Amino acid sequence: MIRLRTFDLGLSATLTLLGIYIVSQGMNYGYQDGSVPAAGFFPFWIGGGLALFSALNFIKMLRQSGLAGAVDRTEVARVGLVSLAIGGFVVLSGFIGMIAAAVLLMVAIGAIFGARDIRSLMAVSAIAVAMAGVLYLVFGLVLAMPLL
Amino acid sequence: MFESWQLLAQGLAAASQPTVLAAIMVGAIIGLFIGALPGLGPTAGVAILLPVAVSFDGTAAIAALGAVYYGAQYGGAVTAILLGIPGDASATMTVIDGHKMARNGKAGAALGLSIAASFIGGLIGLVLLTAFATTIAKAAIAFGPIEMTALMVFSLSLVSVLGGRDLNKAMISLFLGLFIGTIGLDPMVGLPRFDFGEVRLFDGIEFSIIAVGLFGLAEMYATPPSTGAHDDSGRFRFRELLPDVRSTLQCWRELGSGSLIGFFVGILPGAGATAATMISYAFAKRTSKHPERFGNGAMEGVAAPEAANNSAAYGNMIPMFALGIPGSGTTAVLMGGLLMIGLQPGPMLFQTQSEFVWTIFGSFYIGNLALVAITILLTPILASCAFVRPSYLFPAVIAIIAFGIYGINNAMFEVVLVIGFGLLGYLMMKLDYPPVPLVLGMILGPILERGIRRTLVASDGDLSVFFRSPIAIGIIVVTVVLLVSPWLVSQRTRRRAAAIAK
Repeated sequence: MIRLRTFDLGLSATLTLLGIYIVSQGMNYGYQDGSVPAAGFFPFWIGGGLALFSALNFIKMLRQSGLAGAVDRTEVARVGLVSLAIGGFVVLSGFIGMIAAAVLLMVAIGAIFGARDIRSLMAVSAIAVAMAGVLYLVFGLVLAMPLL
Repeated sequence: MFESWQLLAQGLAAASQPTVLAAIMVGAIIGLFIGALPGLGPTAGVAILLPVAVSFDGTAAIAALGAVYYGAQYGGAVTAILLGIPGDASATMTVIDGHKMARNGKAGAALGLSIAASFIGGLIGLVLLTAFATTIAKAAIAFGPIEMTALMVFSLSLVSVLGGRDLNKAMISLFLGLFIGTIGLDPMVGLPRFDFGEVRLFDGIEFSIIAVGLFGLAEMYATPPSTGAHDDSGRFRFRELLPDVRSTLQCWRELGSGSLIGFFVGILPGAGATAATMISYAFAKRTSKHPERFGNGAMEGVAAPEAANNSAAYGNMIPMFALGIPGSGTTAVLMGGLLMIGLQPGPMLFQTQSEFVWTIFGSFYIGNLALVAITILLTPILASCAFVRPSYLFPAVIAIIAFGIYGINNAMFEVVLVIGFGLLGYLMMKLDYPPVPLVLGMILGPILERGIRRTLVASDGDLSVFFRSPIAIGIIVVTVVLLVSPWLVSQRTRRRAAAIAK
């Protein structure tokens, strides 16, 4: 189990830094042009707000030790694997084409979500092939999208 | 008022074109399945279909997305009654008496009644939408740039009602959304902002990438792999599904109160269909001559919430169409769809795109009627939906997402962005950061920035211009009340708790 408090502290700290970055960039874009607001006016206030509320949350989380619960490691691994599978689809599409890459993506997603025995994998593969046909029909033919 | 009905008649004729009819049917069927599938709600459904739908003609796209929304309200009841599993949060109240009826051998009667109640609730909601939308939009026409800027500030303050339990986290989500809205070329001088040296970010980040990531992918990331166990207590005969006129008439009071409560609660930003079903159920029980029947399979306990959630779906659309304010997550995504096809929701939409608005309203009437037949025909399949394993469903949904997102600009860069927003959405879900304020900030931020800067350019930087319009002052006062009231309420509750403890 991974404690959610750790994630929240990390996210709050990152967002505080992002807020400070937005403020500094806003200043670079220019806060005011004469008497009227310039390109950096809105980012300046947005960054300030983000930094302020994120810092407040960071302090709040520091004070509340152990109240935020936990998340299962297998769930975090699943999230990472699904992201990797979609990333793999992006990379593979350039080499084997989007339709073939989509079939592999769907089989991988099926396996990540529990289809690991032969029967389930066969079923997921059949769904993947049928779905790839539907995707080609809708996106490639009907919408005339230039598929890779 | 008469003019509205004339325009609606024209809208109904325009919505009867084959392309719009096909869009309504496809959207309604998809909505039914999304409503029946536990885990995927209407917001996720509309978000997932957004990039695909906007590839088609604009009117057909919004008609289809609207149909997904109200179709989900119908679908949620099927699994709620037959299996005791609400496919969607707004079907939770239907479980109480609907599933009890199914267990008592009246599954068909409960389903038939839910279909009739959904239709009647939807119809009453639509009639009220037709009557009120133009009136509100006409009143809002008097709004100039100052008033519209004040209205946008008010819309952002909805974070206090749409933001969930932790206002601080809701504010973080809102500011993150406002930041994402600034990515790309500056709207006034064309200076690139926060592009990180990436030319593809000059046009900003497409709304559907964020919607799909935050609502669609994140929802799937958090779903555990599972297998369902069959419960056949909800057996029914096909003939029983036909809405029974006598039992429907017996519930006329609950249908009427549920529809009215649903519509007016639906208009309130942040309240939504789920709150409407709870209030209408409680009202029906309190005013019933036999309150003891509620919870034991009372027909009225099915009629009231089902009429309410369908009516609320249309009430929810009033602030979006008439004022350009999304009152819920689903309408925020729908509003993003309108912006993607180049339309700005708000009072001017009724003036400049009158034909579009009335065609969409016409499509709602057609969709509501069509759903009666579609639901009856698809109920056996919908019931089995609750048992579809994520390992079979999610591969197809993720592939649709990947192709739909790629199709926005025919580039894989957007698919990579979707992964990022999916991870962000998952993290937000786990850490209790509400995603709706982020969407609100992303949609309304650019409008607000343009409004503020244009007004200040016109007034030569004089901020007091915002306090010279009585309408703007009124809106600002309401905004302050809305932001301060949750804090005041929590302070009062704390004081009371402290007093009791003493």
